Amino acid sequence: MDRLNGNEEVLSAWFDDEYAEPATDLDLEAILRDPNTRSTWGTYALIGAALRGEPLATLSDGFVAAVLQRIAEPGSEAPPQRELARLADAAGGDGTTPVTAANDAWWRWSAVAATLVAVVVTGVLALQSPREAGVRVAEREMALRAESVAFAPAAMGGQRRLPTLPMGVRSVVVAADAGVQPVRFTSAPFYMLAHNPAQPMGGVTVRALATPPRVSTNAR
Amino acid sequence: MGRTQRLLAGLLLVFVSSSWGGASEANEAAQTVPTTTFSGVAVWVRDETPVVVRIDSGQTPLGAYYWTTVEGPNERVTLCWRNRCRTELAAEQVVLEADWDVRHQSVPALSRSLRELAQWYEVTPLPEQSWQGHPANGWLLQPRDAWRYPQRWWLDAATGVTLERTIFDDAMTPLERFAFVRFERHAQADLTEVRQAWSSLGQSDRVDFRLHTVAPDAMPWRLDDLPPGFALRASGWRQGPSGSRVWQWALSDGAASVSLFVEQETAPHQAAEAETDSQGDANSEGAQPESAQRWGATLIVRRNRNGWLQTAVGEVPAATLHRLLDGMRYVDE
Repeated sequence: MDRLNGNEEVLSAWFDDEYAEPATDLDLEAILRDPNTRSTWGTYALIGAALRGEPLATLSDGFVAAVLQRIAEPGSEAPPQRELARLADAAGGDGTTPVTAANDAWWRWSAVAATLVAVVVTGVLALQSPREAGVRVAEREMALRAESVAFAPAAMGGQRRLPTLPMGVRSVVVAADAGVQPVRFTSAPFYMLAHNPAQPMGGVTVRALATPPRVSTNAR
Repeated sequence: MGRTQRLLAGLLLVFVSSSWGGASEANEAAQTVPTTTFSGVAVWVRDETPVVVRIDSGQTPLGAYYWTTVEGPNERVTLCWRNRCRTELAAEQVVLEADWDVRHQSVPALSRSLRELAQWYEVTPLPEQSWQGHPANGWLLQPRDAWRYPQRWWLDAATGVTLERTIFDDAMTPLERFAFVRFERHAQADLTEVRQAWSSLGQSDRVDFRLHTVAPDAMPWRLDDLPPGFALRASGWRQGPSGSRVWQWALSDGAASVSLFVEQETAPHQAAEAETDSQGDANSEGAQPESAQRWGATLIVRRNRNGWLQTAVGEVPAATLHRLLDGMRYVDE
């Protein structure tokens, strides 16, 4: 199942700190020229920078531009530049200038949020290909990100959460077969919940279940 | 550890994992209490949105608890205490009067042994790996037919808890992934904390979400054509959102699950979600307008069949849902 190409192997090794040779501009260029690894690299580099509290601008402008260009290519998902710019703006930047307050917790979380946009847009693209090394790296980065998130469930009397992460939850409507009508079922939450009760369903809430019928209200 | 030893260990772990839940109500405590407790943070990747979830599962002298915290625009807390689940949304709380069963907890679990799964999947052990510092056993399940998707499972070697599950499509493109990114076994929340959590959710709307078990022969429809490997795990009815009775069949091949729902069509459904021109006997052939929605690996297919809405939900290819729906035969209530 090893479908890695040479660049992806290098990429994986880099992020696993197993790459024996120093990364050179030639290596970077090779990766950026490879459409299969470019978005993967960009995602992981941005994630790592954000989680380390480094200003995003520590990445070379050319590199970031290359990543963003890749994201904006036809066929890609919604370009994240606006989101990145908005987040950078919220964090004190304008989307093109370095985030200078990286040591401040709030700014750092905003950077993480910005990173998440990259995960959403480019990381998923990477995750959608069967590149085991990339997947492994993604999981590691996911772990870093998730561990960095301050979990404070309201029900547990925890602290206030971080600024809301800009995750555009949406389900994808597809045709299951020729002639099938793609539909967003208004009652889908019921079936999803009944299919697997208590399953976390980001993007699908059980709000519909709060509508009649009510067996009783204000139950304790 | 040799490959055979790993396989045997894995079989044992899967057995333990699959024996968490039972169906009888005779000994509720024994069946709803997990054999292991854990706490962790997991990430669901479905479609384009990674959803971060805190999951805690534990046992107290008064019963089992389980809660999840979902971060995101639909952030919520779901807390299950004994066999009730309470979900807090942004502006409201909902108590689901559910028959909580650990088989249905949010962490995916294999419900059959690898030996059984090997009938329907080519089971390939993966090289032993450490997952967040925990030794883990992994398997790649590649289907032997077209009725299911490839899956990859990583289970905690000590407890059998699923640390990672990825469902792929036929081209081995990941459709969705569940993975713990932080995992602590034998972790238990303080009982006082759990009680506070339960009570802090405050006043709630209560929804009867129980599955009223009905024997398969007493259901109004029969399932005449199950894809190989899929077996009925439960059948009964729930009260649906519109107040009508929704009949449900829960099936699984041990790694993939499907639920079939049948309900008599109501006007809102007709207007909003389905249309039909056909009349008459429920089994008669005719136009069967169909609609579908996919979320990650989960596909929902709905048909209207002469006044009945049939809905199939499962982490399986569309053909599997179609076969199941085609094989449904109306009997009578």
